[in-house]
Amino acid sequence: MAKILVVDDENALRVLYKHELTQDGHDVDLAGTADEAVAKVRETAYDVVILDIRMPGKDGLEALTEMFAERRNIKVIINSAYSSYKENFISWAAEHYVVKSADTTELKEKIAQVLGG
Amino acid sequence: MALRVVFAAEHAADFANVLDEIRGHGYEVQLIHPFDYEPTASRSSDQDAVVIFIPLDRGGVSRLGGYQSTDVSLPRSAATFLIGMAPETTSDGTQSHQRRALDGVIPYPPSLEDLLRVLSGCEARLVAGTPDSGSPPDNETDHSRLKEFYERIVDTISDGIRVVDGRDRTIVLANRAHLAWIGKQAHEVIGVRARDVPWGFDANDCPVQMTDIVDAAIETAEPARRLIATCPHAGRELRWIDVVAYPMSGLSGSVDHVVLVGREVSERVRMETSLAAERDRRDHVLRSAPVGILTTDSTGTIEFANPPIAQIMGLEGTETVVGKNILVLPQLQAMEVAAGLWEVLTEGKPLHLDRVSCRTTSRRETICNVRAEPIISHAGEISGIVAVFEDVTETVLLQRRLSATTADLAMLSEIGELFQDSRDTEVILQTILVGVTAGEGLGFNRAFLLVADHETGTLRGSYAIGPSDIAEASRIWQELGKKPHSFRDILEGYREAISRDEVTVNKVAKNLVISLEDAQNIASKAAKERRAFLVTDGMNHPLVPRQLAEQLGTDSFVVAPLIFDDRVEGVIIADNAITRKSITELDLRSLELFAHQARLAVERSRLHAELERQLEELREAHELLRANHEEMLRTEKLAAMGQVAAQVAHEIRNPLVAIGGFARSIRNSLREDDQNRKFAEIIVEETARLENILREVLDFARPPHPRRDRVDVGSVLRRATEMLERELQKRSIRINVQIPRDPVMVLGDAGRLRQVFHNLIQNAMDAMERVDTSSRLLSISLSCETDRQVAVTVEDTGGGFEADALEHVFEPFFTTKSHGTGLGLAICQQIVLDHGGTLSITNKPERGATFTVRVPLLEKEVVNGENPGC
Repeated sequence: MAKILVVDDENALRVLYKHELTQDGHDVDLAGTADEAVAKVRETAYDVVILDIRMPGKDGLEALTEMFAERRNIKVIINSAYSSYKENFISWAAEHYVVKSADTTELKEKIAQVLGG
Repeated sequence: MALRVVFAAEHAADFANVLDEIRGHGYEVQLIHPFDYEPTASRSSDQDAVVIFIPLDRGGVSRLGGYQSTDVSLPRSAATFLIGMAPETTSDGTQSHQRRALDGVIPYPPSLEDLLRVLSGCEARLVAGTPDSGSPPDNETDHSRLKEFYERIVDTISDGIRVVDGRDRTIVLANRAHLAWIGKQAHEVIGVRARDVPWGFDANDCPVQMTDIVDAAIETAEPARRLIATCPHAGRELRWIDVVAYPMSGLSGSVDHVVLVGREVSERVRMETSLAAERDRRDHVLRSAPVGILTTDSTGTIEFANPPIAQIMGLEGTETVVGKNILVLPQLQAMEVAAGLWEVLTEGKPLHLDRVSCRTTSRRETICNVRAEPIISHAGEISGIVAVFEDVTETVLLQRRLSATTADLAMLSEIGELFQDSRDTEVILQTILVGVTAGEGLGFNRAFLLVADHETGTLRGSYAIGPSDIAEASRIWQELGKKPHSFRDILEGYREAISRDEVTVNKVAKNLVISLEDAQNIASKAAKERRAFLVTDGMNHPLVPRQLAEQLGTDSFVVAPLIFDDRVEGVIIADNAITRKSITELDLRSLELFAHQARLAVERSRLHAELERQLEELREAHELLRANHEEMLRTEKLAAMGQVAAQVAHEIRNPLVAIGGFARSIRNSLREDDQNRKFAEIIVEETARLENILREVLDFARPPHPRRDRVDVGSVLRRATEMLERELQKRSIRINVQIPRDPVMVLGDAGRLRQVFHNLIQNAMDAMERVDTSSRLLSISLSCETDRQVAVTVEDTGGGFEADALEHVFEPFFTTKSHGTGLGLAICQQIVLDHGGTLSITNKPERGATFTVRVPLLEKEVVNGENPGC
């Protein structure tokens, strides 16, 4: 059981991920904006953060930078609809880059990897 | 004898009762309008006695039928009586001459008594049988009756007659026609001086007198004549009268009277005038005709010759021709047409001679076409001939020049063709030499070519054409004369001779070396001044060194420069050393023209070659441009589509993920036997498919930043095949894979290459859905085509593409499947292109399609050895 923060501007997806990950036995928190996410990270030491990139206002990358400022060892998995960013993500210091899919298998694998490592 | 009574009265109704009464007395009465009165018509036959009553006006003048009073004096038969009816007041004023013409005058309107008196008087005269019934009822003397008789005679003459007294020049007589002409009454002119009664007015409105001819007639006692244009009234149209003054001699022998007889000749004068004008015009035409014309009379004597005749015959004027007989005129004899013209005159046979040499002077020859026709009189006899000499010298010369030019052109055209074929200046120069010497060409005996060597500044004798001596010449020319040679044949024949050094002319040629700067040499002068020269006295010519003349063996030759592309290529020397035929200015001009034509031909052919080269360059440039343009269009199209696709795909992905995610969640929460689980499963599958499509779209839209890793294509292809193995089994597709074990290295992106192979295999599998499972075969192979390129082929047995589908296969959004984005092959092509390779398709209709990926191999030095897989 891990403490996970899901950041996504889409409410439906937040609900989906909370449902899926809760079923797997995780403790899931949600954030709809970058600022909200950064605030939560400041308060709570999450085991892993699932982060969307494209969000209205402050986007995922900015949020990522701020999160690292808060917690140097934070583990972040990028979960984006944009497959094209995947090539650049290495420079972002995130753990993994998962292209959003209804099939959450890959996402769950990556979470397991992060938690396992 | 019954009397007929005719009333020519305008207002007969005024005395109708009187007429009735006369009828009552047994007279036949006839009424006519005075204007209908015609003296001749009213004239009666002798058996028929008529009394005609005519009205007289207040002046006592009868007004009948528009005639003047004198009309009543027209002759009439003895049984015709003419009675005037005058208004009461003027009846006495009736003119005496009128009165003389009438048989009586009664007052108007007539009373019954007067009429009955007159009629009975007439009857009495008829009964009395008065022999001279025309005599007036008054008591006149015989003399006056005689005078009246003569007056009536002259009145009947239609010519105007005026008799003038020879002494006092008064008019003693004027007949009716004359009075009519001058518009006067007799009493106005009789006894008046003739000069006061003009014969009308001339063109200047001056009165026309005849005093001169009257004087002449009196003085000479001979008739005098004068033709004059007059008009009785000033300012009117002129009429012509021909007046003759006849002197009349009295008993004394001297002229006491002059009788002037004037006859109107306006019509004749008009005709004569127009005839004269016609003649003038004709003469003018004949004189100014561009052809020489002469006419003869029936004896062959020349009557007329126009100025061109003199010109043609080389005479000062036509005076020496006119009056001569055609048989003796030396010019006609020289032309040898005299006999022919004589035949025209004697036989009536037209003469038709073309191109007669009329005369030859030192300067030129005159050539004529001669035509002659007989002149046939009204009587049908030959009254002379008309001969026309047309100077056709210019035309003939022009034709001669034209045909010469045509021949020149034909040859030049042939030479031009030869030039076209040749880019080699030497061959061209040889061709020119042949042209100069060939009989079909300029026909010189010999031609020497001196080639300009601009480096050493010399003109160097190169080769020559021509026989060595008379014997060889006659042999060659006889040979050539046997059959017609085309210029090409001649050239071929000469080519061989040209290259032989032992030929005499070539020996001569080789010895000719002239400095280009030698101002004292005609050859270098020709080269320098770029013009041709004719040398006729070479031995004494200041610019012909003795050595040159001796070398050539003749002192008469032409020198012409050969200039191509504005550069003096050499000089031609041509002569007639064998036949010694003199060389004319014309030969020089021909050679010059020929050299010029050769130059044009050469320059044209060089220009043509240059143009062709440039055209080819342009064509290549254009092809490149077109390819680039197409590539650019394709890229732009793809980029634009990519942007749109990416936008849409992203917007769709989030809700799709949500739907699919929840569908999975629902599915997992349901029991295996729950029907809804199957439905949820369908949602899961369909969203997965949609996601797949989105991935393809996004892949396509992905900006090309391929990795440049060292990749073993074999293992990538193997991996892609393995990934689909399960699916292949599921679809009963047999598979034939030929991939070398050893690495085949390329520089590229392994992931993207795998995507290409995956796509191609997926397509092949999809294509074979259509065919029977037994014939489903997927062949995958990898081989090195060259040491630079590897080819991967994916071959299916899916029946191939339709022809029209084939050309769109690689276009984005083109698909033959019921599902799919149509981006697969477009993406594949993009990836392969990014790798510097090509993706092509070979289609076997009815059988299947083969896709071939060709990408460059990693270069050997980079691989550090060979590609082991190749």
